[in-house]
Amino acid sequence: MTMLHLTIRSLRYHARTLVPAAAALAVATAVIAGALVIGRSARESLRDMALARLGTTRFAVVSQGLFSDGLGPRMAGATLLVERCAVLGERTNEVAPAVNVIGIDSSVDSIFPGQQPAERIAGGVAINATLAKAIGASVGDDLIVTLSRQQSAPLDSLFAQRSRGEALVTMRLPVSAVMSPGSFGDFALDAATTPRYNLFVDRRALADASHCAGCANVLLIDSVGGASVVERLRRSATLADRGLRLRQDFSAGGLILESDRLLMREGEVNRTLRVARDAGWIAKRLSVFLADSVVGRRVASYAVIGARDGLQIPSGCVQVNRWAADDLGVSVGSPVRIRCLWPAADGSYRSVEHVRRVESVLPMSGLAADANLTPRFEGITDASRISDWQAPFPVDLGRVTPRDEAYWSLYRAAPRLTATIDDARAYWSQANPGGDPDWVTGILLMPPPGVSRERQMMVADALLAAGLDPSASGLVVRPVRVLALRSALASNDFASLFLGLGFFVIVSAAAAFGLVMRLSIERRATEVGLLKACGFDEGRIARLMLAEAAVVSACGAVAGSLLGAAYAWGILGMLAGPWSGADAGAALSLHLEFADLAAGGAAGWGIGIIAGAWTLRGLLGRTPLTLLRDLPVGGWHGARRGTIWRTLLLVALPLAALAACLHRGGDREGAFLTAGCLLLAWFLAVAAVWLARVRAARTDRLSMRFVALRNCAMRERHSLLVMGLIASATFLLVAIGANSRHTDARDVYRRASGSGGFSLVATSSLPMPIDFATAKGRARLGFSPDDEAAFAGTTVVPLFMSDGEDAGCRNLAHPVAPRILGVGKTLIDRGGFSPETEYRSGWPLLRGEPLPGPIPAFADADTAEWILGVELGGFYRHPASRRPLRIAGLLHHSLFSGELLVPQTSFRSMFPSERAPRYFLIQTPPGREEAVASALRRNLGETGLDVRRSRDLLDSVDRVQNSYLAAFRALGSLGLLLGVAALGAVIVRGARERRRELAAMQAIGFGRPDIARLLVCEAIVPLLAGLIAGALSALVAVAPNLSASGGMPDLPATLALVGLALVCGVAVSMVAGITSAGGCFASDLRAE
Amino acid sequence: MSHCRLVVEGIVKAYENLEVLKGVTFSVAAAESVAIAGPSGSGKSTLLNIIGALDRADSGSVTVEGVDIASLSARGRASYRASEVGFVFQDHHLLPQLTAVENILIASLAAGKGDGQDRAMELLGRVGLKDRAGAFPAQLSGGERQRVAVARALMNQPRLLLCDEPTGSLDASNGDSVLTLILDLAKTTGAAMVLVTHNAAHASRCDRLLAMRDGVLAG
Repeated sequence: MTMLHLTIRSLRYHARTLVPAAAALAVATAVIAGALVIGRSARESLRDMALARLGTTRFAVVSQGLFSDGLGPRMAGATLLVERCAVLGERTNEVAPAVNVIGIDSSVDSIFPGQQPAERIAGGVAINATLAKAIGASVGDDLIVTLSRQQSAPLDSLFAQRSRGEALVTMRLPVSAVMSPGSFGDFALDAATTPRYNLFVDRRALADASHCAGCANVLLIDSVGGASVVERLRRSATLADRGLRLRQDFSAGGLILESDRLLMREGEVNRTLRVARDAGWIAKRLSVFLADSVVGRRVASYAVIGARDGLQIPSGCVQVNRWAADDLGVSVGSPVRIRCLWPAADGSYRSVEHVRRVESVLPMSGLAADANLTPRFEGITDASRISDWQAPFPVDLGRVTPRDEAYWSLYRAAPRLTATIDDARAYWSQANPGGDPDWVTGILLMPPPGVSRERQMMVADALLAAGLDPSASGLVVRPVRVLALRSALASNDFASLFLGLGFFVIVSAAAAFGLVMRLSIERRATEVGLLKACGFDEGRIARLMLAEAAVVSACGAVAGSLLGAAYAWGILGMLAGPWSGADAGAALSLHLEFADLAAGGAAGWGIGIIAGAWTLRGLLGRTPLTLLRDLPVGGWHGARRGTIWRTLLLVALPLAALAACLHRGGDREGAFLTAGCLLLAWFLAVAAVWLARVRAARTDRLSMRFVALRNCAMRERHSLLVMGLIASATFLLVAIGANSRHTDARDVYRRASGSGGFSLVATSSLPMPIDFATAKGRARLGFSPDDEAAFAGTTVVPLFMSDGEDAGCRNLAHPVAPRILGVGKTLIDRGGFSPETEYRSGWPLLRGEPLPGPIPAFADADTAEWILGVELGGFYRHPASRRPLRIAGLLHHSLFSGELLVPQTSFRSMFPSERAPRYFLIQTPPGREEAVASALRRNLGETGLDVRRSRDLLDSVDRVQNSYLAAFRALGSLGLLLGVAALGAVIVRGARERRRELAAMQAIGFGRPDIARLLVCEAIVPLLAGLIAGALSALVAVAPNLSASGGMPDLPATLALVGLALVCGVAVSMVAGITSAGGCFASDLRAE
Repeated sequence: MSHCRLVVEGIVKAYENLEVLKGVTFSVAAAESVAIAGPSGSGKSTLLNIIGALDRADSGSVTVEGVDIASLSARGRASYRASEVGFVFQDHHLLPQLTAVENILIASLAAGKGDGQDRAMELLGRVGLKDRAGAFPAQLSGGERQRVAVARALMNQPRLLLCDEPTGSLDASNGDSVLTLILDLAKTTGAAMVLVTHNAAHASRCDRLLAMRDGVLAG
């Protein structure tokens, strides 16, 4: 006889009673192992998606402008031209906004080996499955693709084409292929899982159509070594690739460096100045702008005004050349009124006037008559006459005098006036008032001695190509593969999420395991007593019992590990179906690893050991005598000590709950949740005291109800455990129901709500130089009078919007570069959304911060907390900004779950290529939003305007949370059912243990129905008490939610679940009671 | 032959202000059998439980071979029960998952050994159940189960054999035979025996009879 022999014998003998315990532990283990498998599946799925989109790409060279398509071969990379567009399916008339049109050539075949992308677009376009589904297109259908025309001038400048006919281009192309999911059709440089629309076309055709022949803006590199890619770029990128060009200025005897984008970036300017001056060159910044009129004693129209470094022109003064002086009839000291035009968002032009004093009159030689100082303005500088100008702004030829034409004929665009640098800056800053805009149109480079005129160009080209960092010109190298993998792996931790969601099931299952084990051990109390009487010490008995628990736990853990795989498969199936909001539509596939199942099994086994150890508590401490006689533990002395504790709890718990409810400041919802939990504990304490009173109560008149209650009281521990399980499950279910979010239709019109009072949100994939915010703008965009009528009482607030990843819960991958919105004065002054800000300052916090401080930003509260990991006052680093963003305000349940909001001035610095608003908040009178939306879609839908109801946007975010809550509710319900099952087990096992007692009752004269009623009564007491305690505590816990949302939107579902639990509990009780009472107890009265 | 001297002095035990034992004093010599008889509730079983270290006295001492068992630690008391005491209860308290011979060997395991198959079989033979060595308690009659319990009590050759109404659950015929068995085995092993019974006939078969009434011994 050995301890092992005794253990094995005990397990074999008691196997039938221990199987339910193993089954309960299998459930807990399945949830744990399953959660680990789900977590890995999510990570691996996102990783696979990210890698499939990138092909073999490791690095991407991305330009904010354009570079020549010769850079690709020099860098051994695949050349792409990526633009935004809108696509109309001609057959279905469906429009897809925000489409990525990707111009490719055969160089991309090596990035996606085996897929032959270039072949797939032969004769037309290839589209991805998502786009095909959105517009109902198939192979052979024609698509109308609308995109922006590439312009050298910034879109918000006087020199940019703004009319739809000039600013947009359209292409009609047939669909030659629809790409399957997981192929290059889903190409993206980021790991965001939000649906994207991709359209692939021949790169050269795209470049030609968008007026940028020979250009590209993305290179895909699949070689290793990040440093060498940066170095290769520095060596390979010419000035042209940086969007720069050198021009000989013979008048000045030097060169002029200019940008393809008209204005040079600040970084480019500073670096050029440094490189040039370090090499001994003289470098002067130039800025040129056009005056609509200059008025002295006479008027000159359409005069070019220049500014440059090195001139000592006092503030408020200008220099004029001789021709202008004579033309205007002015001399030194004379005032001149300079009127400039600036494009307004409604398509009109506003004029700005300044009066300056003539500081000096310059002879018509050298730089005073140098047309080379003015960069090329297409349609203007290449015209031989002012009357031949093809200008994007209105030219009143009636004002053009013969003198104007004569000047133009002789001197073309040579500046007639020379202003201060401050005046030039002020002119260009009209695009971004209060910001720090680009204003340099060129840099004049004068060579050092020894550099001949013939060699200037070559020397300067080499000097600047070597010295200018490509990133200063917007050419950056991104390690896209590493970033995408990091983003995918840093995504929502589904393992922790589903561990949390299944937490109650795990606890319930562990409690059920403990309960069954305890029932089993208590049944063997006399065995334990006998062992003690024989001389086994507590340690040996404990080891024996724990060994049994370990074996039972191991069986449950192994079974649970295997079940965990099935559980994970089921959950992933639910995520693809009813809970699809939770994974934001990303297709997650099962990735099964032994390590996860083993870890889950180990955890389950550990829980079983701990629960088994817990069941031994109290049993081992009992004397052999009490065990042999199966007496209750504690004695009178213990009961007195328990009463003291219970009394303290009865007083302290409700006081603590009240204190939590009354607590001001901090997390109000958290305080009420704490109060609810304390109240739940108080209910259980009250139940314990009540059971003690029932146990001690005496009566003159016995009833079955009294007997049932007394029986509950005698099995206090079991009763409280079952009550606690059911109360906790009910608490969770009711609390979940109150937390589900639904946007009330009336809420969208409230300024203080998450919609800010805006019932519509419109986003444009193409910049809108003329926007629809005003009636004038709508008229210029071609809105009919009927469409205009729909806008009565409507306010439109435009915001700037960057490209970027959705920062909210609709994107499973962790965002690397979240989308940013630039907030202007209109929204700041209007307010709304009830932001939670530091010092209650509100929207004015977004007026901006002086350099070099952090940029203030607003964020959606949930996005900040759960995705970005920042709190109010915290800092966030965005790759587009050298300055950190300081989270100065939080918006709750808002439209902006996917974006961060910054001051418009800061936005313009972060994203200099975004020159016009693309995000519009639209406030309509109640019930009018559909009419407004229809008018917008009719007029602007084909050009990429996407109009959505605010309510739908908020619902899409709610859907994610509600999906998680639905999962929590389903798993919580499983936990509740486990509690009910535990109740059934208690009844059945209890009846077995009380065979003699029940037999005696039969012998006395009670029939089986009476005994069944007794058993059912004993079960219903903890069931009902648990349901009531849980529901009442939960209602306290969610009181803030109830008052905020005006009720419980999911009340029917919650009531149904609680009702189902009640019905199941009663049914289980009745079945267990009736079947237990059906056994023949008479034989139990005989000696064994 | 082992020598044992049990000395019980001034044992007092009360439950909730109810004095069950009011200063009980007696002694038992080796190989002597003492019966303690008395009506129900007189404190007989309580006294036996105290002697067997299953319960503690409020005051007084129990000395076995000069060792005061009240001074023993919990482990010491377990060791005392394993090696010095054999207990026979009214309810046999056999482990249902062990066979007859295994139920005897459990006592050896309690003493830290686990061996002694030969002795267990010998004892089974002595109680007339050698051919039922492999039977489980559910397969034995009441009398047979009690015999196994008696064999278990004697497995470790205890110096003290304590029997608490060992025939209380048996019919007269079985009861007589079991008692005869106990007395013979006790004599053979030289154990001091204390028998608690309310059966006068059985009490008279012991060497000495002590009467317990209202927590006090007489006789």
